Amino acid sequence: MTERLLLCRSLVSLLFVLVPLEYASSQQRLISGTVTEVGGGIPLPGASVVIQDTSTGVSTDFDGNFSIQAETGDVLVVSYIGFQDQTVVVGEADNYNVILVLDSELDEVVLTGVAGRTDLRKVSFSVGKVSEEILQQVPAVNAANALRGKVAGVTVVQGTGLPGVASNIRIRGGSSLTGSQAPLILLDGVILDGSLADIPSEDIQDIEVLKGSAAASFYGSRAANGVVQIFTKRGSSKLGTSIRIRGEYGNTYIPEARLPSIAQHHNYKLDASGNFELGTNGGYVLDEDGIIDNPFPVYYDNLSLFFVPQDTHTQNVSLSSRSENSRSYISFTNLSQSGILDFDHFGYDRQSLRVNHDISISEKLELSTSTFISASTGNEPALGAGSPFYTLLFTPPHADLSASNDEDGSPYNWNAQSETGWPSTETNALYTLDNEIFENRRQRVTGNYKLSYDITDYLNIEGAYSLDYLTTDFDFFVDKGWLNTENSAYTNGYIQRSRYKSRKDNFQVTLSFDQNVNEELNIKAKLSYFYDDRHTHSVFAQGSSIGITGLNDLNNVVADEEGVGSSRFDFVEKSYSGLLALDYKDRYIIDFLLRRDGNSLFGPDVREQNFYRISGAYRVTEDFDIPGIEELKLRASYGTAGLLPPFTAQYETYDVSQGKASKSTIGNRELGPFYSAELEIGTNIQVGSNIFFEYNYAEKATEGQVLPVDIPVEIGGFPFQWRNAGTLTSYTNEFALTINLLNREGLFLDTTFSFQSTNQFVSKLEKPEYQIGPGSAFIIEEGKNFGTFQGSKVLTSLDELAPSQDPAKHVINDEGYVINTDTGNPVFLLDENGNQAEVPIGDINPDFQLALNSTFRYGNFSAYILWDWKQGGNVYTQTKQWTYRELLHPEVDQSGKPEDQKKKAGYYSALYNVNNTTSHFVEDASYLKLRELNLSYTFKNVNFLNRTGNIKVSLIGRNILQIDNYSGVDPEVTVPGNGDQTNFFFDGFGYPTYTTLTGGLEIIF
Amino acid sequence: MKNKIQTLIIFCIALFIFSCDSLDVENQNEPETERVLSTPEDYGSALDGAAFSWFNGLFKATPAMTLLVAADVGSSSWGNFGMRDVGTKGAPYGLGPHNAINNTVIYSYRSFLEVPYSALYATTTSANDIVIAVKNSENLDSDIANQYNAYAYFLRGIGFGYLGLLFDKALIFDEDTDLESLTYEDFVTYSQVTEQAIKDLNSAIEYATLASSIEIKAFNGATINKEQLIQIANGYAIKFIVQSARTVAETSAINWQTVASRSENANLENDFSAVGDGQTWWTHSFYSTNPGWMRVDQKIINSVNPSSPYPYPEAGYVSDEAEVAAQDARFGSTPDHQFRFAGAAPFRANRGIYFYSSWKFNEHDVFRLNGARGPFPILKAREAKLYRAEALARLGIPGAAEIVNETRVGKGQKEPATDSDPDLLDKIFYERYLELYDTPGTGFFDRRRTDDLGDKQFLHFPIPARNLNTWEAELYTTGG
Repeated sequence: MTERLLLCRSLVSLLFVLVPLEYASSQQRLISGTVTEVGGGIPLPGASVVIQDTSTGVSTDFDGNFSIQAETGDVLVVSYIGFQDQTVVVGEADNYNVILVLDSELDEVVLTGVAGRTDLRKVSFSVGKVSEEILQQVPAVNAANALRGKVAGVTVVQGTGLPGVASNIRIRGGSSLTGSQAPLILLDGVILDGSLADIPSEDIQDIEVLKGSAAASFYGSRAANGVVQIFTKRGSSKLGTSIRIRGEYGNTYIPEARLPSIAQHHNYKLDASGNFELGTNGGYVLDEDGIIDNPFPVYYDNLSLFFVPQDTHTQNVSLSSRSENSRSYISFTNLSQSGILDFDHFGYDRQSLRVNHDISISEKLELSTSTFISASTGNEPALGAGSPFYTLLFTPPHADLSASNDEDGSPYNWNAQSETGWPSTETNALYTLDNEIFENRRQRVTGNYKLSYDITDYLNIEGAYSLDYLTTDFDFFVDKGWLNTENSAYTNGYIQRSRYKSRKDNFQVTLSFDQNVNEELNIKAKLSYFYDDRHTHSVFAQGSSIGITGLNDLNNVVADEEGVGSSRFDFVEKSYSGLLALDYKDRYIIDFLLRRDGNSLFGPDVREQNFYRISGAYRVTEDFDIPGIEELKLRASYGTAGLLPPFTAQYETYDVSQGKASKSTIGNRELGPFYSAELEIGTNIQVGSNIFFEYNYAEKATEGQVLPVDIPVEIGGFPFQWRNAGTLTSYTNEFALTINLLNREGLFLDTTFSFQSTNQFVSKLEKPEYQIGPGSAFIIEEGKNFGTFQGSKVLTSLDELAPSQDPAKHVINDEGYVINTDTGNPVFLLDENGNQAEVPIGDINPDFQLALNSTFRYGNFSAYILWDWKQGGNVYTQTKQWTYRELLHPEVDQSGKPEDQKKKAGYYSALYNVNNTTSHFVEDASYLKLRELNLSYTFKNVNFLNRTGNIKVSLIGRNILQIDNYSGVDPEVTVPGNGDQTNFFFDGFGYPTYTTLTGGLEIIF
Repeated sequence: MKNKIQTLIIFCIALFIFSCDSLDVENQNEPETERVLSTPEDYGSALDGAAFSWFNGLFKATPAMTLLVAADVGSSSWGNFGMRDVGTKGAPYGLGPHNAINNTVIYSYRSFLEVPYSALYATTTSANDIVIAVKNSENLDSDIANQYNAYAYFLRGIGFGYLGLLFDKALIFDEDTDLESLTYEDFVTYSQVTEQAIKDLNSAIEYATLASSIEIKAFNGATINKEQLIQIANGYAIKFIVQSARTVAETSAINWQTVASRSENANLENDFSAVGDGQTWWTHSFYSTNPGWMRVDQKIINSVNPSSPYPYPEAGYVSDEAEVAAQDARFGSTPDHQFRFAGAAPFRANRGIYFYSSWKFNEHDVFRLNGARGPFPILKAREAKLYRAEALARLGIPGAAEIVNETRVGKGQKEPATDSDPDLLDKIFYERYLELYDTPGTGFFDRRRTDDLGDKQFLHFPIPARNLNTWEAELYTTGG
């Protein structure tokens, strides 16, 4: 114990002596004892010792000692802020030593989705827990990333490197064919609607994950994707104040081996001086041999001008304190990320402040407040087709993107490509980056204010109000003078402003019951009422022609060039839930739950829906001694939960534009939620004191998929109706294995494996098959896996030839493709009409995912690593496909190839296949990634500003090593804003993911 | 205990208070039919919406770009809008057969079928809603009723008219039809659909004639008054009569006397135009004038200058820039030309060099360069005039050559045509292909009725697969 703590405890003792609690007045015998902290036996001064169901109590003195008048059979309730309450039944003895456990050590307690604070060993369904110790090894940029690789069954996908965009979370198999698989997120009890990008992981105490409907039923119609509850840090558990200062500084970059590249040769004729020969129409002349192996007259390394390593840094200052009746946690975080583009106006900056406060107003009344404010600015480039990421890869190496513009001397010659005479005429990617100015500003306020009152020692009522307020301002500006008049949207400048505002208010009242009915039976029960009110409002304005150069203001838009729009949505939900948990002899555990949700998003005829759960567990080792097995729990759970339909779905609607009303959708009064039912069977096993194993099997079927179903447009003019029209089913096997390999003096090694294998498929579809997702590359069809790529298949066997195709004129080439010997081109599978057949050509679903995180400590040195292995599954690369069209993908470059393997340009153009989804561009998405690495050394007991503390220096890496077979930058790639971000792996000219390497310094005193 | 009871009572009251809050939430952005039709003052907005649906379904990239390529009027081998698919020809090079339309629910470019189909029914049903609403509005002023009826019948007419032009069959109805009783068996052929369109346009003309005044502002930047509505309705009537013909035989069977007489009342002098705003109101010209997107088909170039080869040869040929310009003054190298030399086509050789052409359509290049801003035609006066010329020519009535020469000589600076020219009809079509290039589908419909489409090219679209599915009807296709 430090001198500082001793001093604090002395002061508290003094305080309690001066302001004593009520003392017993009856004549009973004197019971004495000591209250100490678990672990070191450190006495706790000022702890409260109260006889249950009375107002009689005392405080401990400086040495943690207490004396109280009590009689045999009385129950002493010992409490101390920051520690878990402890009860002692007075027996024959006169002296009792009470050991309290720190709240922060309550990792084995679950709070989410259960009847009350429940020992993890007694929970009858699977709950994932991530502790602060693991979370703070390599603090993630945001709360979503913090979960990656840490809970079995949880998939975290970072599909884009775009700074400021949070990763996407999916738990087990998907629940929705149409939308997000994102779980319901609670932040200190606040149901979040917006992104997790605003939430810094430095503030996180721990995270609980309810993995599916069976566990998440308590959250009803929004919880089919599971629930993630994030608990932020509260004030110090010990008297006094501690300050933590933490900073990281470093670089972000794409490692050389993963940088995109382009072909260095072409298939055009060169003249004697090595320049391109020009034909009668002024264009390049194709070389008769058709082989892409002719050198360019000159080479510019344009890609190295585009992808440039950038700085990143983050700072966090937090203050954690505790006084007699209150605890506070105040934290400020600053984050700056510049990504990988070398322009000052790109990057992401965020500042956030958190203030958490807990006050014991009286012995029975406690107020907890959590307030979070965040402001961020993200300057994002355009992505996808037509964006700089696209035009860059369409630029041949003899175009000099760094040259100035002839027209006005401004940087980055806009028509560098067309000036070379190259057939395509894309705008210079650097010119676009320099002149398209995006700014995305977000402000977020979340708060949770909770009043808890102990009516009796077994009955508690709690009222909570929470708020999530978000505003987003998106500005886009292109100044007058855009030089590419062919891309005329910007010719006279362009301004766009979008404002989005969302406010969500929750009110919840909960009545909790927790009582040991007798020595064998504990009953926990909870009745809860929840009310949710949400409003969103957005306005949009744009102008396509501006007056004054450089003035980024809507007033600067020339008359009659404005465009405006707006929308408002209101949502109301109210629900009632009841939960009963019975624990008999610490070994037979049964849990019942019933919830009734009323939601404005359900059709008027089905506006209220019921959800339920029943689960049970049997702790075998409480009845049977199994050698070496400390704990064996068997459990099963069955529950239901839902997902909400989109706002518009229940209504008959007309689109209104410029005052004109056009038919859109017909309403559906009977539209219900997505309705998910899950069966989970699992076990928890502890072998000795150092091996912990959990296994779960889950079957989930989400019926009532809310889908647009075509109706006869000829009758009413409405083309479709939203209906509950499909079922998505998944089977998941998952396990987590933690092994503490070393735990000797000064030497510690702890390793956790998290494994999951999921099969998800469309088990029912009450509409014809349809395509979805980026490039419409995915098929939704009954019986097919969710995440199946469908498109044209390049033949790999002569047996697949159509009757009209002569086998004698086809052979299989060195790439395994059937080619036509006349043309040398690959051949596609045909349907009965002679068109290319559309067949399944790939599947995103991996065979399995396995993560390993390991912590090693030796003395003051510590190392932490997180490996992430995904085996199997596919990704589609439209980036490669489209670059094939331009004959600029490195694979089309025949230079250096053996003569017998050289192919003509037409071969690659045929494979491009007019950008239709094609098997050639389906690739293996397996990877092994070293996601996180932290090497640290801690200098302990360092004197700093007249205080004693610790200083930790660290080398921290994120995404620093990647092994894969993918031809692009990263097979973990999605198209932001286009379809399911956890399933639709599709490479479409996005912002590549990158590596971060930083040095960290942390001071705690 | 008293405190505990109070606490529980407060708990119950709180539940009660919040329970009273309604779960009925209004959709503040997208009204329902009841609201759209709740007051006669709003009928105009509903009709304007129907007019916009009609425009949206016909004038943008699908199907306008698709039909230009399908007709060998424009050329592009980019996959977008189904252009490559409808333009691809088998052997012999550049002249072989086309494939059938890939009419499935997962065909990548099916929007060229689905967009016009849904939009035209949105138009016809919405217009029908207003006809019914007017009929049921007992207190509506009769003059106002006439105005709404004129507008509604006009929209229903041009909706059915284009259904008859584009699709092999359609479901027709009027204000007296029990819509719920209709089945797939009630779909009728394009000729019956066209008859319904003409009937509706005639009703529009009757109501417009009765109305004291009319002012339609649905089409951005345009105001259509009573007289203009009557002219435009007549213009569309003759268009549908003529262009709904699928073959030379059907073209010959047209009542050309009717065309000649109705053309007198059509919009012979003024284009029916709107104005692009760069956002909502834009047309396919934004693409079709872009030399990177589309070229003028070599078949057109060959018709201007017979020594320019058709199809475009695989080996290429010496530039015909000067030669073509010498044949017709509308062709040249400067921005003021209607067709402009644009050099090498950017299309991919492996998709067929026969897609190549060195010429681009240039009439609305300013529209493109201004970001889809500025006037664009919806129904040109020139189209009505050329129907009149064709009717006169076919009926042997003098006057056709004079109409033809307005542009043939006036713009093309070619030798004048005479009414006695044996190839007068060819000269009329020559003018039609050059002057009506920008009116969606017109070139395709003209090639169709003169048996001039490519080998096994579709004559019309099938009902889209997704819509056949809603009737549980068997899938079928056209062409190939």
